Formats: sequence, C-alpha cells, structure tokens
Amino acid sequence: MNVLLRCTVMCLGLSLLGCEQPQAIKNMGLIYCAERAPRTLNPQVENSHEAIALSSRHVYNRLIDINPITQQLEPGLAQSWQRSDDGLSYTFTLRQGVKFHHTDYFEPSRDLNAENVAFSFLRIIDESHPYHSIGEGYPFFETTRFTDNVVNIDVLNDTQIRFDLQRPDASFIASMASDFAVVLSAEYGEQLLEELRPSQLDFLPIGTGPFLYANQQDGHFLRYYHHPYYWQGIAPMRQLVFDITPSSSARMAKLLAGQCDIMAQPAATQIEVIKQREDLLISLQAGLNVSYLAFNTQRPPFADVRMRRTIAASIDKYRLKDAVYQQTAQIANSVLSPSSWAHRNQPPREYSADLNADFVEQARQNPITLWVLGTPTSFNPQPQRSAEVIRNDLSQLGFQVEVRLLDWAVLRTQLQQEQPNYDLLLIGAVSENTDPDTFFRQQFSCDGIDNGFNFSRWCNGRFDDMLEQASQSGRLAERVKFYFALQELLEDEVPVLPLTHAIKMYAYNDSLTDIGWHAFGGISFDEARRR
Amino acid sequence: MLHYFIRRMNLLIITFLVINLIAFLFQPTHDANLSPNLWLAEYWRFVGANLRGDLGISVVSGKPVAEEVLRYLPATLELCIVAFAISFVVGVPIGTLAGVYQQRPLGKFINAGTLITQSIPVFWLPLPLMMSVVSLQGWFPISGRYDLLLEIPQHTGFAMLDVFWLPESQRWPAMYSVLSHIVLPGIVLSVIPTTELVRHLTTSTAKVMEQNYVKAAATMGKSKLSIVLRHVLHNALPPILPGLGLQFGSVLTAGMVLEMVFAWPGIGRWLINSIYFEDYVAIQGGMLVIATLVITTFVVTDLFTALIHPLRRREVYALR
Repeated sequence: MNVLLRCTVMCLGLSLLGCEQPQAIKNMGLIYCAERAPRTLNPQVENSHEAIALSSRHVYNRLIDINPITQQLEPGLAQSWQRSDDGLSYTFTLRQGVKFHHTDYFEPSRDLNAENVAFSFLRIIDESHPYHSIGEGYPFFETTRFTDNVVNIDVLNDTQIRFDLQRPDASFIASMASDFAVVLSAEYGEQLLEELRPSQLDFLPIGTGPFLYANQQDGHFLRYYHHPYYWQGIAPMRQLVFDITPSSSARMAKLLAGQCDIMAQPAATQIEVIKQREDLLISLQAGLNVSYLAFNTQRPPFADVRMRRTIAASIDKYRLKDAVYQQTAQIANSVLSPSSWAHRNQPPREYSADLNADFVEQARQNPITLWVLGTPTSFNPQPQRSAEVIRNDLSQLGFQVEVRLLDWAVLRTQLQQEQPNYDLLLIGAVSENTDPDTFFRQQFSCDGIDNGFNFSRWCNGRFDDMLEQASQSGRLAERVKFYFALQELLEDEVPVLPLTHAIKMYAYNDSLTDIGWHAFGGISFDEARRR
Repeated sequence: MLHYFIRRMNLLIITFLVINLIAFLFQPTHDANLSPNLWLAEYWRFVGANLRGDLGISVVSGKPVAEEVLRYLPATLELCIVAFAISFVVGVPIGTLAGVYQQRPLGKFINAGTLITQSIPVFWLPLPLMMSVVSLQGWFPISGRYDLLLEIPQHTGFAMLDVFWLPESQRWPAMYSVLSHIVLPGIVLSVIPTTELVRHLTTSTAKVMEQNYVKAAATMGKSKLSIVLRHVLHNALPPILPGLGLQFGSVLTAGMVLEMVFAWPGIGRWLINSIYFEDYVAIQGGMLVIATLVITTFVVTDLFTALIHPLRRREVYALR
C-alpha cells in the first residue's frame, strides 16, 4: 500500500511545483534575455549598439546624456560644457562626488575627476597611451572622425577638462553623448598595469554606472549588482542578469514561462502570441535604422540615373513590408529615420518608369547581380526573403536577377576590392548617434567608397561640399537646411532606394515599470522597478 | 564472493587502461614515431597523470580540466539521479501491473505504451513538451538549473544540497526553484530507464507470478495486493537491478544531449562547447571521466547485486 501512497504524495508534490514562481526570487532583480554574449564589456572598442547593449548603459556613464523623450542633450558626468567661439575647443566641467564601483577585483580610493576622463579618451586618440593598442581599434571613434579630429585633451584642474579639435565639428557633442563614449577609471588602469594584466580592462569593467560587474558564465549568463553609491541614486533592482539565449524561439518560450522579464526584437510571427497574453507588453521605438537597396553607380546599367529611377519606380515597398516585417517596420521615404531631427518630412517621391525605353531594353540583356547581406540584422530580420521579393518584382519587368547571399565578413572583403562585382546590394545602416553627419559621411561621401561603407559607390562633389558645410556650421537651423537639401539630392540621384525603417521592439513583463527606452542606444534599468 | 570481486576489479582496471589507450592514441600531440620503450613510458605517464586527476589545462578557459569537470559533472549527475528516481516511482507500479495482468487488456496496453516510448528519440521529446501547454502556461521553467537571480554557492555541486548553504530566507524559494527547473528535463530523461524498468519488471513479475509459492499464497486466501507487495516484488525486482545499472550509461549520454535542449549547465553542454572551440584537452579529459564513471557504475552495480541477491538464494527468500 505504501508504494501507492508514496506515489500519490510525489505526484501531488510535483504538481504543486507548477504554481507561480515565488515572488521572493522575482524581487531579487531582473532578467533580460539577450541574443548573444558581448565580446568585451567596454563599449569603446565595440562597433555596434547590439554589441554594447549589455554593458554601456549599465556599467558606465557618459559626459553628456540624451534625454530619451525630448532627445535633448543633458548633463551626465559633466555638469556643464562650453564650446569656444571658433568651435575648436570644448571645456567640460565635471560633477563632484561621483563614485566608482567597489568590486572584489578593484577598490577605488578616489572619486571621479578630470584624470579619469583624460585616461578614457586619450586611450582612443593617443598612440603612446599604454592602453591604446590593446584590443582591435575603436570602430565608432574612427568612423565618426573623432580620432582624426581631436588633437589634444588637457586636464585644466580636478574638475575641468578641455578637448581641442582640428576643425569645427558639430557632431562632436553627439559623439560624446553616444553610448560608446564611456568614462573608465584611471586608477583601475594603473592597477592593472602594475599587475601586468592590462587586457582585463575591457573584460572586468569598472565604471561609475548604476550596476557593477558581479560574475558571468561564458555564453550562459552575465550578472550585475546595483552600485550602492551610484550618484543618481541606487537602482531599485538589486540584480541585473543577462540570460544569453541565441535562439529566438527559446527566448520567446522563456518570456512566456516567466524565466525572462524582457526580450529584444521578437519576430513578426511572435507578436500575435505576445498580444494574446495579458501579462506581456510590447514597447515600440522608432528605430534609427534603414534598410535600402544600393545601386552600384560605378558600372552599367546603374551608372545611368534613369535606370536607377526605373527600378525605384517598380519595387513595391508595401509588399516587401508585408512579406518580411508585417507590423515591425515602417515604409522608408528617406534614408534618415523619421525620429531623427534632420528628417525631411515629405510625401514619398514618385518615380516614373518608361519600361520600353532603350536603356531598359539593354539592361534586360544581361542578368542583374543582387548581393544580399545574408545574416539577419536589426534592420532586416529575413534578408533572404527580402531578396526574393525584390527579385520577383524585377523579374516581372523582364529582368533576370541572380541573388547571392554573403555574410558580413565576406562582404567586407569584397567591398574593399577595387571594383566589387555587384549591381544591386540589399543592405542597410543603423545611426550610431543623434547627429546625421556620421551617417551621411559613411554612406554617401566620396571617402566612404574607400572605407567600404558607401555601398552605392556614389561620389558627388555637391553632396560632399554641402556635408562639409553642414558639419562646420554651429547653428542647428542652418544645419537642418543643409540636411534637407542633402536628402533632396539623394532623392533626385537615387544612389540608394530606401525601403523600410525597422521598429525597435521589446517584449516585457507588465510587472516592470520605469524602464528607460533610448532611441539611440539600448535600454537602461537604473530606475526600473517591479510592481 | 572474493573471487567474483577480484574478477570484476580486473575488468574495471583493464577497461580503464583500454580507454586511456584510446585517448592516448588520439591525442593531437601524439607522436606516432616514438620508439616502443619511450612510447610505453609516455603511456604510463599519461595514465598516471589521469589517475592523479591531472587532465591537463583547458585551452579555452585556461583552467585545469579536472576542475571544470568537477564543476559541471554534478549537475548532470543530479539530473540522472532525479531521472532514475522518477523512473522508479513511475516504472515499478506500471511494470508490476503489466506483469500481473500480462495477458489482459491492461497489460497489453502498457506493453504497447513501452514500445512507443522506446522508439521515441529522447532529444525530440522536449520539443512537443515545450511547445505544448507546459511552456505556454508557464507551468515549468524550460531551461537552466535554477532561477538566474539566485546565486547558489557551489559546495557539493548538487544544487539540491547546495541550497542549504544559502541564508535561511532564500533557502526554500531556492529549493523550489531548483525542483521546478528539474521537473521537465527529469521527466524527459526518465523515459529511458522507465521504459527499460517496465519491460524487465513485466517479464520478471510474470515469471514470479507463475511460481508455486505465489499460487500457494493465493490458496491461503491472501489478497492479490498483499501477494504482489510481499512476495512478487521482493523476488521480481532484484534480478533486474544490474540491467538498470547498465542503463546508467545510456541515461548519462541522453542526459548530455538533453542538456543542450534544456540549457542545462552540465558536462554535456560543456563538452559540446569544447567541441565547438576545438578544445581537445577538454574533450579528451571529459571523455575519460565519463567513460570511467560509466564502467565504474556498471561494476559497482554488479557487485552490489551480487551482494544482496545471489541468484541461488532466490527460493530461500520466498520461503521465509
């Protein structure tokens, strides 16, 4: 008899386990299901917002912050800053009493001062800095021309520091406010040099941010504790854990099972499931990204602007959106996202197509090569499918299209060649800061061709001149005018056809409130709490 | 008994040496052109190092492999132990029922069920489970060993024991978290030993049911239940124990595959990651440890069964 009895008791016990997760554990912190583990925990040496989503806003602070709602600049570690009249130097006055993290691998003995800021930024620009050559360069600072343009960093006193520029650059402040421009601890740097372990600087981080590094298990999780002496007040969440779950369906399952509190970028097909659940919410952010079709303007048939306009007229963006993005993107009329301050809000340009013209007939003779960045990105979750839709549109007009999928590494090497072998390239871009300068310079300037980021290989003297004027102008109204003109020029010349702006989405548990959503950069949890 | 013990120990040692030989030959740094004497000396040194627990340093983590194995193995063992426990709880009653009612519909039904579960690949089973109500309703966590917000210190490596090192306020929520996480992988993994247990127990029970002492008990007017509990199980269970010991090997390997599916931080996941990173030292060390563990379990179960159940004493037990 007792066997049966034991059986019953065990079964009951097991079914009891199936109740709600005890609140006691949930109240200990917050779990974010992330796609992949970061390579390093130092945003300075990383190259994309995806790579720093797990570190920048949690471990570090920047000199300047961007208000997530108004997108205005506001003081961060710098209480105030001043631009000289000639636009060639910026002086920052630092906040006092900002504490660095106390961890078991580092005990700070002093508060934040100008030395720390100098240490952090000299690392990037000064080749004699002991940490300069550790790591593989500073991609963000190199593409924004920060490394070329900042010539000198002077510590004026404990709380004041001056950056000297070679030429005026309106995007300098925006770069300083980006998630990449974090402030490290100089004292920690010295300690690591003494211990002969300098590379640890990028892996066991010390910063001033709301969370401090606790521990991690490679490829499994990354754990932070809240920083008890955080200058903006201690974060309500005691722990912040990143659960590394590469599979999108597994992330979804964890979210549904309550094992994660928040996940980024649910797939279009998962949104319906989330909507049916009362305890889950979706946060939408206009994404500062664009996916576009780039025409190789350096070889026929797309060296001819009429041909580019013909293709632009015949691609159905709405069908593409329905097939790939559904509700997770909006149609792009300009390369700049609508949430950028320089976005030119105009009705979509209508291109006319004469499908019987000679040049079209001629283009039909040879197959068109369509290259596609094959890995899913934040601006295109299903590149292969997008390519099929475009091929379908074009083949209906009698063009033969050959699609080739390339991963990023292969594409990079191909693009750095003298004459890459494509006619069309389906790709996109993500703005890395609030200033459109970097974006335009990378994607459309003549210099961009050599850097391999100007995917249409389009070089236009007028465009470059206007871009230069815009970056040297200190007045916002004037700059906006220049950027409007630039966008108009792009619409006329069609080096690229903007397709969609993917919406940044997060699905999260409704027990969480006060999460900071940032249009540029990731999300922050310094004020997040559980109801 | 001593004779038997020595024979089993010999088997253990020889198998261990053979496993080491295989590992030694497949070493990436192994030099095939060594002279026989040197070769033998190298081999002995290799075996000696393994016996001391020196499995080399992992190329990826830079830590001793033995340390890593000790860190991840308990999680796998915990899962296997739970699977075996579940299989006993579920398998013994079902197997006995099937044996007692072998020629009846119930027995045939159970038989058909075992056939089906036996043919399902164990790594496939979690998928429908996860997709079904279980995960949609959020009844059980589908991955990991316990809630990530918990930091259970690693003393024994068995989370169910380690929770007792936590402060009192966290202890029971943590225990709850550990138990609820092990439910799904435990159930899935228990399918293998349960099927095996049911199959063997059915045959064994049916055999015992035909013995004269069972018939005698029935004529004495004892109820069927008491006959089964007192006489049949006592005699039907022990002979199948060594068979279950053998199952440990397949449960362990299936467990290692399941670890990938359930993101269970055990030795299987660690080994598969080592394969991704081409960490030969870790692969070899892990393989050696697992192989040694499996043969040791096999031999120990064998000895244990011989201790408690010498076959020839079967009738003596029944007469008691």
